[in-house]
Amino acid sequence: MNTVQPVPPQPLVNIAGLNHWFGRRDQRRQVLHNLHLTLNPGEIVLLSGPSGCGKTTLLTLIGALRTVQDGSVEVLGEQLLKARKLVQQRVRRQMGMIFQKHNLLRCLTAAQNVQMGADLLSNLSFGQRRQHSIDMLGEVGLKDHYGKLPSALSGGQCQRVAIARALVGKPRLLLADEPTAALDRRTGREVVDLLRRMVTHHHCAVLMVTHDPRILDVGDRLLQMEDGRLTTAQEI
Amino acid sequence: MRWVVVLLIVAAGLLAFGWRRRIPLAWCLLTRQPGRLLVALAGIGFAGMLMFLQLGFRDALFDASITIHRLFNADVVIVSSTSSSSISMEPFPKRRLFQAASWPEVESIAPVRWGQLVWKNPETGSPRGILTVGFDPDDDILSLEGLGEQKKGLQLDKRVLFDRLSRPEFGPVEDWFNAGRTVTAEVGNTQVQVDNLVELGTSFGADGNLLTSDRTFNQLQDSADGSSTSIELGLIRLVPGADPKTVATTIKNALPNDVQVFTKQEFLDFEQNYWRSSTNIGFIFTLGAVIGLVVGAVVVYQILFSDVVDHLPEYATLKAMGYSFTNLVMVILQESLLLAGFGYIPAFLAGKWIYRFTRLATNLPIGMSREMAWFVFAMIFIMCIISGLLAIGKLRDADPAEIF
Repeated sequence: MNTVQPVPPQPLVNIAGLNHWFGRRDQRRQVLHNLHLTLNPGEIVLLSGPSGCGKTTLLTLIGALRTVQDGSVEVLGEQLLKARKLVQQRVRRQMGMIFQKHNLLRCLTAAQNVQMGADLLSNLSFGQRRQHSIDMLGEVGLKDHYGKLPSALSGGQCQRVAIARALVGKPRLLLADEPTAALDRRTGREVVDLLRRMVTHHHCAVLMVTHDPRILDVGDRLLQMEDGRLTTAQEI
Repeated sequence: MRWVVVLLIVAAGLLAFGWRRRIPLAWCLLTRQPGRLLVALAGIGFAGMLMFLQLGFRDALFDASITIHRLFNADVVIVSSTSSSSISMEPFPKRRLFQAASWPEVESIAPVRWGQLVWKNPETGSPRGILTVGFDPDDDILSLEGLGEQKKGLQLDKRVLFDRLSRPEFGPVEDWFNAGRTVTAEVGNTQVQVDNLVELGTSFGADGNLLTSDRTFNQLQDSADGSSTSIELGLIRLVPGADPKTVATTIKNALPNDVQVFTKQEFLDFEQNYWRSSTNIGFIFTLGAVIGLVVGAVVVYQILFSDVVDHLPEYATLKAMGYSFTNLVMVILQESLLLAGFGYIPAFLAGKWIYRFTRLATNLPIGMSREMAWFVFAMIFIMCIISGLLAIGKLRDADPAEIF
């Protein structure tokens, strides 16, 4: 009797032998050394390490914000090694990003900021995208604030709007760079709890850079990084 | 004008694309800071006003220079070969006109005296040059309403028709005349009497105008018996159906080189070309308009540049989200178009007001023509687009990798 072996899920991120340098000639300095990493669907991976160890550089390479110089970086099925701008842009449109600062457009309302993420979806009408945006704001608990400008929202609320903006396009991969760094303890906790709920609900994988030991419990895996090398990896 | 329409269609397309399909980011960026928007609109409005002012004055100069020329009842005009414009009309022998009269296509001829004479303000006695046109009152040389009756008075010696649109420096002639007073003034050391008022208009070359008989004109020029063998203009009417161009060429080839022979249109062009080419005035006004364009471009560039600098992190975020550089360029260009559109409104209104004020103050034929309105709009449009394109360079500094 034959048994059907479950097909392992295709990793969303598959990195092998990644090296990266900054500077030129005498100033050239290697910041990432022979990194290997995979990220599977639905997984929340935390990336931690001292300042300057290369976490953010790794994040920007996975996020197709920099050109990969050496090694294989496959993200959402696209090879990013020396990828053209168009490929990088295509990859970026399929993922969500959350930054230390919310980086909301100050001239737009909460709903309009979220819709800036939804406007990249070409298969929906303007009205549908607007409705999606308001619905997404409802999911992060800000339905009643959709018409407010960022200046009328608290830091935590702005970060929630940023999360809604990152998720409105239904990305399969979310990159977050210390999303709680600019928030107080309680608000930071609320934001990561929300993030956890949202990514579970939307079946999204997350790679989150964090220094905050209080939020390590939201992750499935914790990667430690030091001097451009992944030193330890542990299940949480 | 076709290229203006094409630009407008492209602009409308850009705006429509930006507004229908996506969040009106350009509009929001501009209106979020009303103070800055007002400064931008004021700058564009000022630049546009400057362009209206300079180009309007230039066109008024060219139009005003042929105010009287246009009124001449003539198909062909003869002037001295040494004349270069209405302000330097030289005499030529009257017999040249009589020679031209022998052509079968010529229906009638009219000799005209033309020159700047010195008029003394009858109230203050201050002298001022006035353009004086002398002609036989029996000739119908000008298409001017009411002149048929008015010129009858010129049959008497030392009678003149005074242009009531002349500069006020010539004295309160109109007021006195309308009050029933007998208005006399000294012209060329001779007392003349204003027999009636006409309406011609001033130009850059003539602050005021007098019409008189050729006999009086000659007397004012120290000819005791009022006769002269020289004239400044020879007007020729052709028989119906004759081609002015052909006749003018034929007469020109037949007459000696001491005269130039023009069709009426060539005569108008001859005068306008003098002001365009032989003086700096056209260049100066055009330069003024260009300066307006540059001032406006600098203001718009500063506004857009500081807008880009202020929003660099947001633009970088948009890039990180997957917006292309072209998407962001479109936002800047949409801002440029909005500024052009809204900045044009105060410029147009100010231009209209200045034209009206100038017309009332100077009697110059200055006004807002459709061509002028479109031209300045096109200039403002181009100015804003160029400024937007320059500001786009700063967008390259929005590096999405730097926002992490």
